[in-house]
Amino acid sequence: MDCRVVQELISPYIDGELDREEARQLEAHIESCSECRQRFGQIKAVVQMVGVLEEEELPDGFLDRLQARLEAEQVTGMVHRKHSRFSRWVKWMGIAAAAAIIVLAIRVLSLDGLLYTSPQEKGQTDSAAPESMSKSLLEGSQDEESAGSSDRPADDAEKQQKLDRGDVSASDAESETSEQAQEVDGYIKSDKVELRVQDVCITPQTLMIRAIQHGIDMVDQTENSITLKVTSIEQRKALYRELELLGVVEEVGTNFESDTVTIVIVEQE
Amino acid sequence: MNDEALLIERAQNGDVSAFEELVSLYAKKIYNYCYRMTDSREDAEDLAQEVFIKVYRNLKSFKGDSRFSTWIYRIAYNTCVDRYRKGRKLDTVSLNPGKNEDSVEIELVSSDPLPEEEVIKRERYRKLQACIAGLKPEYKTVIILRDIQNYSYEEIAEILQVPLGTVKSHISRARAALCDALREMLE
Ligand SMILES: [Zn+2]
Repeated sequence: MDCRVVQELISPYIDGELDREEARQLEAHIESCSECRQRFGQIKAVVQMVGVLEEEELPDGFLDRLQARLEAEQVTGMVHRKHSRFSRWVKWMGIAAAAAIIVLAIRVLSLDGLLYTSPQEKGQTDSAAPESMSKSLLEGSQDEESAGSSDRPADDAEKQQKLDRGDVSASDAESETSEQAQEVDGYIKSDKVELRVQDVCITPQTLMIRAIQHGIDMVDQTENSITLKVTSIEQRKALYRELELLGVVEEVGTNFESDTVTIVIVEQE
Repeated sequence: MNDEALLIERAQNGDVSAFEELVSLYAKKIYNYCYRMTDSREDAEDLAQEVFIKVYRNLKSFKGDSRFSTWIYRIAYNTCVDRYRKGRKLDTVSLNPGKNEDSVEIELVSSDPLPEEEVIKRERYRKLQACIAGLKPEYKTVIILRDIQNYSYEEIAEILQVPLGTVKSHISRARAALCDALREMLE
């Protein structure tokens, strides 16, 4: 298979649209061709990112305004129906939307990874509106629980570490702009680091999604590690910053001239 | 005959409450589709309402040759593309990510400072959303339908009324274009 064909087939492969033979050939090619492997990783990361975009709520009053427009067009039947199911539904939507907003606020406030939630969740957003709202209510309460039991202590520990190093940006009182947030002292210096994490959901895939956002390409990937090509100090800083948000970073490499860095994910008890 | 088919038949015979139920089934999906196409909540509302007005007017011409859902999406797609052709601001967003209204989300948490990770995450969402909206219409529509709303290749072919092979290559090129746009924006 030639690289051009392979790159055309990456998308249908991700969607399970290739037959077994084509899929096998693509896998074999990707195994041996680093360029296509890299492209595969990028496309897959983009699909995952897009897949966790959250559904927007209908704007307040959307249905009222729609009804008014339909009436304005002299659409029959809708006029003078004071207590139609439509308006009752509008009312119900209002309550449900308010509940959903509270849930959203909780989710936003809790530090759980909105962008990095499991892709399975996205299937649930496709159902009819009222149903998906009650689902998001359920999800919300679960998130709240898990945020209380695991995410927050981990995050506090991380903040404490930052404070120990005198990193004032970890202070809760600071409200930061993203520019300020970009400023970091640290960067990745050697060709290998260990990332000690408490969250079992952090995989090489997680790191790849974050890396791609800084224009950092993947060179290789294993079950618990990822090798990235870093070509500038900015990329090294950006990567360091991303890793710091996920866990404790420790330099273990000995080569300081390399333009690649391997990140090994180590789960901590 | 399933529930939806029954609703459609009733609505076609002038039953308003049946039409209302149909609207309630699709309003959020169609609004979201329009929102991703335009990256503007204001345009999305306007377009989505236009879609339902067209659905109402043309309900009698729906013969059940295709699924009702794909019929509505086809109207939504055509409505968005029409607007785009008329040169409204449908495609002017790509160079200026973030100018669009994030006010709603920000309001929700305005009393508390945002955790820094949250700031970064929002920034990412906004850039991603802007990149999607900046793609050409036939590309962004397949990204929205496939990767956000989870429609199958067959359903997308039915919505866009193009052969399956075209859907396949559009999805492939759209993702590649999105990937490149995203990398460019983030560099
Ligand atoms: Zn290749």
